[in-house]
Amino acid sequence: MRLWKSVRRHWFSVMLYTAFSVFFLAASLLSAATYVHVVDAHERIHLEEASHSASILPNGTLLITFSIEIANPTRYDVSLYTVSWEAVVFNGTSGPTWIIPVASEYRGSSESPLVPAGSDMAFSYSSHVTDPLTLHRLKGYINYTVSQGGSVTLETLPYVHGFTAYGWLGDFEHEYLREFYLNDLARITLDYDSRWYA
Amino acid sequence: MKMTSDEVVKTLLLMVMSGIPVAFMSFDFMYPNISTPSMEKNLLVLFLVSILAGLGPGYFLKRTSTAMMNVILYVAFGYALAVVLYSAPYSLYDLELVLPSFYYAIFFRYTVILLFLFVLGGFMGVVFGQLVRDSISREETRFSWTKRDE
Repeated sequence: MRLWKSVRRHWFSVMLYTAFSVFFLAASLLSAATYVHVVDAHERIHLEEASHSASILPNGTLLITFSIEIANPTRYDVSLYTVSWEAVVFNGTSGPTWIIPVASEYRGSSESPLVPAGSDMAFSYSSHVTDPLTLHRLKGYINYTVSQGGSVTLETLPYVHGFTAYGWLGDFEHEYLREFYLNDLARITLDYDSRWYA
Repeated sequence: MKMTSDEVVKTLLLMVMSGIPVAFMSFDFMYPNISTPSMEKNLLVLFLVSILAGLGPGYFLKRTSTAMMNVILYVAFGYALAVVLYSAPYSLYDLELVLPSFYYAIFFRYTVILLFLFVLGGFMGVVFGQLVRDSISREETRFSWTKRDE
């Protein structure tokens, strides 16, 4: 009761002090909720609908295609600063040059697309492989496989597709070098490798 | 030092109410980019808010020793609360860890120095709070004697 009397006597000071405390309580809860949403966004933003193909056109050119979608069901936009795709063939029989690059594409920060909150963005790539050296190495791989009793063609080669996208989440700006530990919080890294689903 | 039940309740209330700003400031210092509103790691602002947090115990607790002890208590409580806020996505929502290993070590490393600031600011706030209370008390006494004289 003495406490209540004291509160009533100092009502103005108590009110100010309570407002001060409640303000920071609201700020704490809001910030913690944002933190939860940001961490949750890391789990919810993902790649989906990946598909790839290889075909021979009527003029004999090898056509490699790849498409994938970035699904962003979160409340934050994602501004991508690096998007890259590459298709390679791993040739385990040819020593140091065992990776045969077939096709690739890279988009840097100067043309960074934005994946809006609550939406998907599709990325489609196609490449006509006309480089004689690349075709020569692919055919060498095919010939060796056939000589070992295997059956493979330019269309059925085990092409490995890799897709990587880096982006910043929302509008959470920080100093990239001085506050390096915040990079992992605000940066979204999305990776796809067709071998994972082979 | 014997405390009445009223004093214990008052001390606990003050500990919670002043601990909340300490919790926010610690969290904000760790994550200035996602905090709202953010103090942007401005140590002067942090120090001034620490003084404000200490004003309450100084004003409401008559004994200086209790008020000083309350500063230690609310800083400890606030820092513990900041750790809870910091671990909320993982402890409350079971999400996957985003930051690299040594998760709590990073938090302590970046924010432990603030404890000195909070305690120092809190002590200064206690002194200011007591000065304000004494000043108000003196003024009230003066007014009451003036009335009697009339």
